[in-house]
Amino acid sequence: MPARKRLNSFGFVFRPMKRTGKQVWESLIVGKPNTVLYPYHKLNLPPTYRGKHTLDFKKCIGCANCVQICPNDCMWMEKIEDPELGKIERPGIDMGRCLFCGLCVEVCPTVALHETVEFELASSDRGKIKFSAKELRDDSYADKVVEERQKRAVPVLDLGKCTGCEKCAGECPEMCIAMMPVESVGKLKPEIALPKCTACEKCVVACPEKALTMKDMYESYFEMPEPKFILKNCTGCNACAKACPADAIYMMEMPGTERILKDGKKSKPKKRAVFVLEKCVGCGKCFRACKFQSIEMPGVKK
Amino acid sequence: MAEMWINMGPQHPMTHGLWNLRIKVDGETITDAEPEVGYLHRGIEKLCEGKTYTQIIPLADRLCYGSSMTWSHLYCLTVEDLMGVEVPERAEYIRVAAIEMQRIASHLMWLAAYAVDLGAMVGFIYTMRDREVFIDLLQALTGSRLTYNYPRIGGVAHDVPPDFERDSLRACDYMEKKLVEYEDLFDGSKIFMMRNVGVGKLRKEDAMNLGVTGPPLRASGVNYDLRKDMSYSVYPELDFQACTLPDGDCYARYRVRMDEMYESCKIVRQAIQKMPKGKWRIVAPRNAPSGTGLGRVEDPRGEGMMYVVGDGTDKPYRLKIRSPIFVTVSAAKKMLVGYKVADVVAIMGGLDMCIGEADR
Ligand code: SF4
Ligand code: SF4
Repeated sequence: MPARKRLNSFGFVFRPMKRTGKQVWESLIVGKPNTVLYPYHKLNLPPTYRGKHTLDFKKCIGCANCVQICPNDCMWMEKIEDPELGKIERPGIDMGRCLFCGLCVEVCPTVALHETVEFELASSDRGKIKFSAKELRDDSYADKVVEERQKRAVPVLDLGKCTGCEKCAGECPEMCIAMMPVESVGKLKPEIALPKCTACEKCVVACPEKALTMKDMYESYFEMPEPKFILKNCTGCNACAKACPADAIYMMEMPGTERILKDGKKSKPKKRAVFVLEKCVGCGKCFRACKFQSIEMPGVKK
Repeated sequence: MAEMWINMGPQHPMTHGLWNLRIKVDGETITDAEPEVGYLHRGIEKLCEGKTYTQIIPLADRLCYGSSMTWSHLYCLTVEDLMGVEVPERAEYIRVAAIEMQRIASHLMWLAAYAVDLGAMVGFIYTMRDREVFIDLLQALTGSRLTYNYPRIGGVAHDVPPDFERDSLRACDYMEKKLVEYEDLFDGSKIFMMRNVGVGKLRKEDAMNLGVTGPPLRASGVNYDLRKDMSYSVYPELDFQACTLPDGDCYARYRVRMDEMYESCKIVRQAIQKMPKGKWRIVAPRNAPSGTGLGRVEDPRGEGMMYVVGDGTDKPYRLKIRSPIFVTVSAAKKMLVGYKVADVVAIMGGLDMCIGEADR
């Protein structure tokens, strides 16, 4: 801590004057200005800068996690008919309400949403800073930026093909696959503990039905709510499986529920939903789609 | 001569925000004073009850735009206390470096406002220019200029950018040079000294009784700095001093803040050099258990405290915010009485008012 400087009145005048004079010399005469001439010259913004959003239509799965986390409710989901992708739901953003917190980018499970360094959003019309999904679309932006979040390959299960033969569980060197019985359909289903997985691909090779495939997933720092399934309310209407953006719900037949029809043939067995929770992104769409209260998700808005 | 009440505020250049200072004057001498806050009440505490724990972090930023990093850090500290989350060590060092940069930026903004209050326009321009260095650094680190939204429950949002360490060490060197320049500009100016030395004396006993914290308390000769006395984060491992001065006048308050900037430069340097490699964030639980959490930090303006009550869901049941300025401004009467009207600007400016956090 420097001590207080005692000055005489001569110093009281000339000390500040010397400093100001030096500054004038540096910025006016040597010519090192401290400011930029804004519309013509622009500052270099760091790549982390949070400005206007872009959306990668191909990566986005339409899970609405971004809409849910937004503290200002400035996002909404739009139903779009796309020639390539078919009927999809994609988010739009009202920049007039956005507080540029970046939470939507962080929560996106597929890193489809990005924030660019574009900050010149001022407009004389409020409607012009409301961006619909199509205006946000930029499918090539993700290739241009270095992504913060780490990707890693993990085995992903297609339950429709799985026969419950337990071969993958026997093959895994880290013992991260456990065979769990699914009571309603009377079958075994592998459950993969993803934190322990080292991506050795042994289970993928071992699977005779090709039900396991390796897929790149982004690591997430958010703990998302998980759906709780109540079997006795389920009618097998298929609404949740259709709503799920991550294909984590499979409708499976319950053995022993066939009825004998009048003409002596057996009817089709009843169907029940089965969840593969490793794929779940915690969006709550199944919960909202279910008309019969058979899915519970505490903390998600209906 | 008859006494009368004068409203200084809510729209007055001295207030730096929306608040009202009522002073009773007898001629030019102040005989009574009464601060009034409440013009900027936004109901943030109530707003927080309807948001999830993650969504509150950007709101906590907006308590005070001058030192938003400290407030979101304080919020994360409190919720981590409630949830029992351990933060990785790298994240702690990143946070400390960021907070100290924020402290320098906040003090510089105060110095700029203070200088312009006292009529020193040059001081305003120089300090604002040098604040830009730290704002740019924080922008590169966090992605935003004022409201960073960078700390997260269980760490920080992302790792430091590649050039950050080099740039912040350079910025500290630059700052230390510039601080000497400010000393020449301010301590070397007769007018500045005449308006500061011996003005707005706050006695040690009054300061302690009224709950004043931060630089005004330390300038009254009480050695109380939460970073030292109730250490949080990784402050115990860093070498720095709490700055105190015995005088209790405006000059001492100015001096304490200047010295704190030197100390902050020291802390940033140490934090950057000691920063270990490793993870910077862990996955925090979504739902907090029922119970309470408490966090206290040394804000650039004093002691900030948050108290959160969790009820097992993903939203807090109650969040209480203790703002340093709300308490400090109650010492206005003790500081003002006996001085002239022209001194009000110097005395109240020396407190570093931030109405955003005082009114919440
Ligand atoms: S940046 Fe924040 S406020 Fe803006 S759309 Fe995303 S979540 Fe909402
Ligand atoms: S969180 Fe990502 S994947 Fe989900 S809707 Fe939003 S942008 Fe699409």
